[in-house]
Parts: sequence; structure tokens; C-alpha cells
Amino acid sequence: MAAHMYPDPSYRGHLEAGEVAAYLDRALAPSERTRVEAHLADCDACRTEVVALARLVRARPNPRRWYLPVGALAAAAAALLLLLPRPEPELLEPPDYREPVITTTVAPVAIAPRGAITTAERLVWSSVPHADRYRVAVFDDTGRVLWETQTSDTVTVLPDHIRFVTGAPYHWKVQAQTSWNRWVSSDLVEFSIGPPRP
Amino acid sequence: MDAYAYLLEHLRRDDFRRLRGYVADGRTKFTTWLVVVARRLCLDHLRQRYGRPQESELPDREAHAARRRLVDLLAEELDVSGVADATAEGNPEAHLRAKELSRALAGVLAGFEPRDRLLLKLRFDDGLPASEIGQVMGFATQFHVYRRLNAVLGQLRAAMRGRGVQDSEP
Repeated sequence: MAAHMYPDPSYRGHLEAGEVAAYLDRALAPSERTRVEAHLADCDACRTEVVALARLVRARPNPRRWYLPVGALAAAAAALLLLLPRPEPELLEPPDYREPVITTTVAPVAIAPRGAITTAERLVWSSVPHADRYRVAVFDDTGRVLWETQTSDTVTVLPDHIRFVTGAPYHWKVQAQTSWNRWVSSDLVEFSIGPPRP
Repeated sequence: MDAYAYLLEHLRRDDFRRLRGYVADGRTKFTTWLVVVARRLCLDHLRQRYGRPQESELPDREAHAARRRLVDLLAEELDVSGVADATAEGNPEAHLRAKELSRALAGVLAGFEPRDRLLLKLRFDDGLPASEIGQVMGFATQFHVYRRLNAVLGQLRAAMRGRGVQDSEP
């Protein structure tokens, strides 16, 4: 019950915020828990606090994970999807006689090239569920489009006629078409071609 | 809104000293910890603004009544007659017996495990339903709470008998 975390005199001699949180999360070692419970049994103020907090914490609605903002989570999920072998769908999902309603759109993730590389021959990105078309574009440092193409695949080969200047920064991004005239874009990814490794 | 601003201000103060007080032990969730800290800060804010709540007589009387529930329950089970109306004026003998019972109870409880004492407090002093006790103390279901309560009350009964409470019956 060190007071360093809570210099407020009204909490001195009482449970620390960390102890209360750990007790509610069942994160205390048995000896610690016994000590906290001994204090709670004798201290009306702390007991009142813990009861009120239990109501607050337990009443909090569970986050609906599948609606979480896309961002890093979706990127990680998409990358994982690409890397992992596809599980048998019937093992995971109950039989579905209707197409699931798409409530979120996952952005494609530009996988390669990224950062400093020695050669750039092709562009690879993660697939987006229900996307039937991808549009990729490569830009130079000034934002000028060097090359652009559309494909239904998640990889495309860069044509020979693009000459990348060694050391100069380039960017590329991919957009996925999820429904008619709806495109969802990846982040702009930077890469540069370094000298070939000896 | 004031409380919200106060909360943010205090979390930010001294280079986020409070936030850095969170120890990521991998088991305590940050959200739980934040709820604890935020609630404390809000209470501080209210206290600064409106002063500490006055200790009115009513909660005190309620607490007293609640504390007697356990005594009454035990008295009933131990067959000590007259305890229920022990506070009635003009019955000094019953009043004395109630006092004696309370003292004996306190002595017995002191020897109990902290967890069991907390359980009894939550149930009989605070009057919490079993489901809520389960959430506070981490019982799997309310039935586990009842089971433990029954076991503890059994121990309590035995200990009280051991102290000769039953024998004090005239």
C-alpha cells in the first residue's frame, strides 16, 4: 500500500489504484489477494469503492471487435490472412445460405516493395474480401504517376520500361474495388532501390 | 464536462505521472485501471467543489441495522430468544445479551480468513445480492457465493457454540 502512486492524503492508508484494478481483474497473487481482502473486510471506504467499481467495470459493454476501426488491426489481419493457409470455411462457420452482409471494408495492405530494396520486379498486396478488382499506381517523389494498372490478382509485375533511379524515393499504393464504383485504398508505401548487394 | 476537463488535466499533470503509474503486469487491464483512477479523480473533483459528503445520521443507522442482520440471523439459528427486539427499551436483559452476542461474533470473526470476513461483510453489512458479491470477489456464479456463505455460516455457528453462546441461554 505504498503511497507513492497516490499522494492524495485522502487515499493514504487505503488501497492503491493499481491494487484495486488488479483485484477486480483477478490479477493478484494469492498472498496479495489475501492482504487486499483483509483490508477490504475492515475498510468501509475501500469496500464501497470496489463494489462501485465492480458495477462500473462489469457493466461496460464488450467492445464489438468486428466493428473496430480498420487501421492497424485490419492491416495485421489482412496480412495474416495472406500468410496463413486458408482454413476450411465449413469448419469455422455455421452453414450460411445467404451472402453475409458486408459491414466493414478492409483496406488492402501494400506488402512489397517497402523500404530500401535491391530490385523491384513486382508489387504484392493483401487481398480484400469481395474485391473483384485492384488498381495499383507507382509514383515518383514529386507525386507524378509513373505507372498504373488494374488487375484482379493480388500481385502484378512491373514493366521493364520503368527505370528506377538508385537511391531515389518512390511510392506506390493499391486500391480495391469492393462494390460498384467504391474503392478502398491502402496507405502510400515508400520504397527506394539501393545498389545491388555484393 | 467540468469533471472531464479536471480528469484530463490531472492525467496530464507532471508529465503524465498518473498514467505512468500504471504497471503493465500483463494481467491487470489498462482499462480497468483507468476506470479506478478516473473514478477517484472524479470524486476528488466533486469533493473539491461541493465538500465532503456530510455524515448524516441516516446511513449510520442503516449500517447499524445492517450489522444487526447477521447478529439476528445467528441469534435465530442459535435459538437465542429475545434478540430480535433487543434494542427495545425496557428490556435490559435482552439488550445485554445482544451486546454479548455482538462481542462474541466480533471475536470469532477475527479468527476467520480475510476472504470469508469480506464475504460476510458484503452480504450482511452491505446487503449485497449474491450475484454482485460474485462479481466483486470473483466467484464463478452466484451459486458458488451461496455455497461459500453457507459453509462460512456453518463455521460461524460452530465457533459461536464453542464460545458458549448457546449456553448463555437462561
